[in-house]
Amino acid sequence: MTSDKKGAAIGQVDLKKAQQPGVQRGRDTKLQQLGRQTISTLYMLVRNVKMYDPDNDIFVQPFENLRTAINTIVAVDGLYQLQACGTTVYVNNKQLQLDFASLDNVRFLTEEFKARDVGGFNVARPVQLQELKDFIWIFSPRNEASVEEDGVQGKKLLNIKVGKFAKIRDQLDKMEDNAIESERKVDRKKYALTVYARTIYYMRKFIERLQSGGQLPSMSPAQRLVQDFVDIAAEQRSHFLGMTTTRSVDEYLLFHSVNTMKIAIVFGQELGLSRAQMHELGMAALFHDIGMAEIDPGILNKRRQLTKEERRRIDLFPLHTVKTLLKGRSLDMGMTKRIIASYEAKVDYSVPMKDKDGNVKLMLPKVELGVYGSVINIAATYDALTSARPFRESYGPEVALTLMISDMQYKFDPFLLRVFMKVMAIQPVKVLPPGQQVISFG
Amino acid sequence: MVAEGTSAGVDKNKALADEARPVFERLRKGLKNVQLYRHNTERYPEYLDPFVKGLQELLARHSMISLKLDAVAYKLGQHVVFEDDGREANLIYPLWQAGIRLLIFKNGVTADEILRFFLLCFGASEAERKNRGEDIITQLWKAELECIEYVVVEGFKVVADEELEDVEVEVEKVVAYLYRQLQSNSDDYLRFARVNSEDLDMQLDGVDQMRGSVIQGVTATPGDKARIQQMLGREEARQLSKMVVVLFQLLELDTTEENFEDVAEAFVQLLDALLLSENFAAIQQIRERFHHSGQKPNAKQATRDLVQRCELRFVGRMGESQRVQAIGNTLNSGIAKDPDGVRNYLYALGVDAIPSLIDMLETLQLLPNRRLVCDVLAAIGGAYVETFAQRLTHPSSNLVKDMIYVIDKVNPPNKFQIFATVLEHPNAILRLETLAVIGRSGGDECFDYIARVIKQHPDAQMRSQAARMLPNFPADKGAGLLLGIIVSEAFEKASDSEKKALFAAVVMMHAPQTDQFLRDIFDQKSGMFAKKRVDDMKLLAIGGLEAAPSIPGLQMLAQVAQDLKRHNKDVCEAARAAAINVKAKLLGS
Repeated sequence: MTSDKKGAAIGQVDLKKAQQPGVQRGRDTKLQQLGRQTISTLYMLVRNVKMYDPDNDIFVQPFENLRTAINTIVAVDGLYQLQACGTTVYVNNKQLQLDFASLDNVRFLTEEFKARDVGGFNVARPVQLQELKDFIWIFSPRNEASVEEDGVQGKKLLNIKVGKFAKIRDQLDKMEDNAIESERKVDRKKYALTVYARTIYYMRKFIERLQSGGQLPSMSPAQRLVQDFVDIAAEQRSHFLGMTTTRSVDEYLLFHSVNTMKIAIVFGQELGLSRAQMHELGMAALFHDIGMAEIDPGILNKRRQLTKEERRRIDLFPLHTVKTLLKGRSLDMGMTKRIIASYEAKVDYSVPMKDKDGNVKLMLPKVELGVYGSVINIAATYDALTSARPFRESYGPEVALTLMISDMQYKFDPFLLRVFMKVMAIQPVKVLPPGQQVISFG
Repeated sequence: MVAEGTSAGVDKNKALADEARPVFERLRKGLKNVQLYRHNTERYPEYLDPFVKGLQELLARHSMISLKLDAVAYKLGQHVVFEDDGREANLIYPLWQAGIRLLIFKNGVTADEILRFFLLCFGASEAERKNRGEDIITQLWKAELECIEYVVVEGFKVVADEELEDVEVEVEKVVAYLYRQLQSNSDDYLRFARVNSEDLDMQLDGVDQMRGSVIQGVTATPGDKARIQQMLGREEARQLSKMVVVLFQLLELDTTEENFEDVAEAFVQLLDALLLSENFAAIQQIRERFHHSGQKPNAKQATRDLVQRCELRFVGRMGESQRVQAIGNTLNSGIAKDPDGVRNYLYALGVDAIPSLIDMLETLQLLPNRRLVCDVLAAIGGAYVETFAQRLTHPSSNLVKDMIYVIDKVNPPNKFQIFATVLEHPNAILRLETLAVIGRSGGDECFDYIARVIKQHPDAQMRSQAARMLPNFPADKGAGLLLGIIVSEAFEKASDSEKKALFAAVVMMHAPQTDQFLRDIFDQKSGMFAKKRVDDMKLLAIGGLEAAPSIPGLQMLAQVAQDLKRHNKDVCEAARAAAINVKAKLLGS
């Protein structure tokens, strides 16, 4: 297998999203909504059957609503399966997200279920009104018969299969225990890849929304992902940093954002930042260049001389990400730090003074830039230099580091750059010659 | 937590649940105290101490307790250990809603960890959570609780209407791509490679080992790390001011109609952050910068227009009632640390904020802060005296006093006419204080009000106070009024204190009529028929001279004290005692 001259990845996979046929958009959300509706209607019916016969007119609309909701779920999923115990309710193996206000009602319903040894029921075909009435009859005070899978004596159920309470309770316990255990038993090394992939996916979605002018996704998933990255960086540092070599020419911004974040987190770890600080740094790094998503790629990738207007747009780069992040209209402390860091990441540390030979000799610091912005500046520059771009080849790590420490040194905080050199120098890029076992860095 | 598939498992969970239940009841009691005495944060450890000790003892016996969560309970297996279905400060639901399904407490957990954990769950940090844009899981994660773990069960989604299965498919594609990259063996790739798929399966114990190399090294020294923390500490205080710089750059260089709302809203949120940190100086700087930016000669007109619109929005939002009230809350926490800053802020609000400022004033408790706000009202409310006057009948005496202060400072032409309405206020102290304000002025209009009070006011205290005000007015007016009252029939019906007040006023008048009046009283001899009345008048005169010490008064008292032929023994003794007191007062002893 070979690579092309642009340094494109071997065996490049089309990362663009493919539509899955036959799956309806928003199915999960709809299921949640309909599921909650069925619970709320069941509560109302079970409560009122204590006072009224199921044939009473007051039940006409609720039964119709319940029938419609259940049959809609059956039409989409092929069945309606309710499992309920305490405040835990599953519909078609998905736990319902219950809001606090509804918990009392849910508990009433499940207590009534439990009192009749009912844990839920299944429906595999569209259900009729009479059958629902016969099910609700189970909870009437006039019913003295015990409940079987097909209902009670004299009011047998055809399509509804009742689940016994103890069995369903055990099923729910097992489902919850399995979900918990699968979270606890994750292989952390391979999980690192999954987190990386999820972050790429998240950033892709974010950029798509940005470019289409839609509402920006929440940053909560990003918070979780960065938390995971910080944890993995602590546990699997070498593997973690090693994955920053992966990139894609076509989706440069995605991989650049994620790789910059990862480099920044490892760098931050070496600098002794606390967990909370690494998280702030990671979030800032992940979004440091998000404003680029709204810039015309023609300008970003242009090989020839830029026009005056294009140059003006380029000069405003430090503000692009600020503009983008402000679209979320939420300026809490975390976002403030992100905005400042992304802005300062594009500000040169100092003004270079060159000697007669053109060597950078003395640097005059401009302003006191923040730590996060300075770290991100270094991490992003390193990643950018080691990435192939439409207008140049990628540089090898040694060349990139050399450039950063010489011609470009005025751009970076010298103290941080020194530490960064040591961090990156520790990561080996070739096998040692035979006989040499150890390389030490002071 | 033991699996409940077996009866042994069921028994063990039940036994542990029975042990744990009373311990967690102590948590409920402790948190009740936290809720009741929310501001006593230094006593939180004390409130939770019984629970902490109980939990630590439990963990010492069992080494670890794993509690499953449902929406309202902590459970061991199916056995409920702790339930919370309260609407406020719920310990369980926020965790469950965030996706936490298992809590693990380990032996060795410290009291500090337990306290921090439950206060986080309790919502004690809700405001901070919102301020930082963090959810509870992020806060728990940042808390780095070593002996308290939690397991979150949640599917990964970016947007709400995504299908979990779709997301997993897409993520798996990326994973496959990454894995393929790591398996690559091309020369180009080896230049960059730091890890390959074999490395993923290797165990690393304390060293970095890849592809046959063993590397050891030191990157940042402890000194470096300390320096970084110092830098971060300094930066914390500069975040907001840096944000101001960034926002103004954006406003001046790269704001159009398209993103104007985002920028304007950002300034407002920055305002709220600065208000929260009581940084009024920074708010003032922002206003000055707005002004400066809007005047820049080389700025395009469109930019200047946007800057001015932004400024108007900013100042408008400054005056919204919730922000004004927030300043009130700040002022109620103590004397204003930056009174000039607060003053500048309130000045900037303009006349539209007068009702909000008065509402805020009603809530203020400390006098210096009330005065600060009153000064602002007086400065901006010159044309709105009627608004202040309407509050003079308010039941809050503090507010009425404040309005009097403000109106006095504004000094409208009909000031005393407005004040006169307070002379009938139900609150006696307010009536007296307003009377004092009127009485101090000394003008003709005020004399009329004073005279009316002396003659007609139903409250004796008011009449006495009015009498004491008369020396502030020209003697020809005051003396005539005073003496007319003393010789009238109404004087006989007056209380002792009122009579004394009138005579004190006579003495303080220092007018020829009043001085002669006093001499006339002391010249009378106690006759057989009017002895009591004459002596009473002399005693009242002595009381008046004592109440208003002066040299001539002292001389008069001394003469009376020695004149046993003209005055009876009681009068002489009273005069002697009064003379001693007056002398002492005059000599300052």
